[in-house]
Amino acid sequence: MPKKMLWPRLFAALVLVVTALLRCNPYLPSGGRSLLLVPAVVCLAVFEDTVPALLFALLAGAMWDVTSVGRDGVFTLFCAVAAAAVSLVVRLYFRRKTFSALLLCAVALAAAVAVSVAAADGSGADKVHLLFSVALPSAAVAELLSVGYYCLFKKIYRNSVFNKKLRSEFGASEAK
Amino acid sequence: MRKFLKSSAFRIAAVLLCAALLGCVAASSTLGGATPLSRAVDFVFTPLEKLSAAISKNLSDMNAAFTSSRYYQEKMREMQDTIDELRSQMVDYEQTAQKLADYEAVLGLKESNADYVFAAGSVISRDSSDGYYSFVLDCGAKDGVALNDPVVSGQYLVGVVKEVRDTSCVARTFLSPEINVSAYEVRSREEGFISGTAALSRRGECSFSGLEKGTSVAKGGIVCTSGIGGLYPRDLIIGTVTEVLDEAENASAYAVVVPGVNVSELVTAFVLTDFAGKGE
Repeated sequence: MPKKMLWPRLFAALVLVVTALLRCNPYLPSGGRSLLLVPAVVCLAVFEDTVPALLFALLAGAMWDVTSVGRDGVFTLFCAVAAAAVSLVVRLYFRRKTFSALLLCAVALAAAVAVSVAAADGSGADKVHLLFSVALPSAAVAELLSVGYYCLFKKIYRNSVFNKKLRSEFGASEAK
Repeated sequence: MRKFLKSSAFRIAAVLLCAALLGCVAASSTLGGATPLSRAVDFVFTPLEKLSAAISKNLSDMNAAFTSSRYYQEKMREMQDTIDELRSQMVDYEQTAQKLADYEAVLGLKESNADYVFAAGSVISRDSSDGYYSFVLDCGAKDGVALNDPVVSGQYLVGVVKEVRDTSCVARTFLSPEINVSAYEVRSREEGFISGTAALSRRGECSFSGLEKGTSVAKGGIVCTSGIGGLYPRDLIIGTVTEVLDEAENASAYAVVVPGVNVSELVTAFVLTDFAGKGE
């Protein structure tokens, strides 16, 4: 890893850890937090190369699995696939813009809702109830917060307070 | 794109992904149901969860004290330092008193059941996507906790351990449809089983199913574990009947039960690691 990327990536990892802790904290008001890691992982993947994005996603997914019931490894796999796909798509087809990040977050959240409802306990009626009472409201909140995550990671990678040289190089590559 | 797929970095990433997949497969056959990756991450992540829970609990306790006492807010402006110190001491006292009450309740259970062996745990995280209020306790395999151990709060059954790691365990409450507890109603002695649905769980309730159509179970009845199957000891209190209804799909009845403990607000719990009749 280039030395100049060390501090931005450490800070990005810290953001993922804090998000995972916020997601599972038992004393915060319930509701709206269950899918917070999805926009964090997607917005990080927008600014990262595919392999680092995959590694960050494995970390985020493992922290998600540690606190969730059900089959271990499901959310790790989901986050890894989502991050790799987003990073590749941004490199090949999309620009690093807010609208692109929002669109990719929406797609990832739709997939996350499907995965979390499929992995939930209960019959079809229970899953439908969970879909409308827990999953969809959480997805709506996560989509709203994705703008914040995008701006945060943009700040980390573009205007890193730890590396002025990185900031100028990032600006030059964006201009191209 | 082809260049990227042929690169060594992609191969390394593919190997890592395969390893993660193998871990998922291995988890289904390993004791405790947790993958090696989860165990490794949990070793580091559990202390962070405990720290985060402790910080936010202290902040919410202090916030409750502020919003509930305007008189003390006014006093605090005049004697800020003294009142802050007294409030901090009050928070410590309340926490200790709550802990004492929890242990006293368990002591009562232990005195009437000398064969019970407990592992104490605090709730350090909750899965906010789970509609059945599952939670993580900070006791694990090193405390003697094993898969399918009952989780209790005082004399009330709360749930069962469904995932075990070295320093933590994940407990599912009996509000989940996946958890069925054989039970009986104390007054009528009728037997059935406790199960849950998403709709009932949202209201903090569960169903006592398998009753006959003309059941004598009535509102106010107390439902306890029957001990059948050896998963749960007998006579752990589950909750109180609030209404009796007919099943829509067959000729039986079920009772709506309110648990004795509000599982969504649980702070501490105990895992029954051993009891007479376990597994029989």
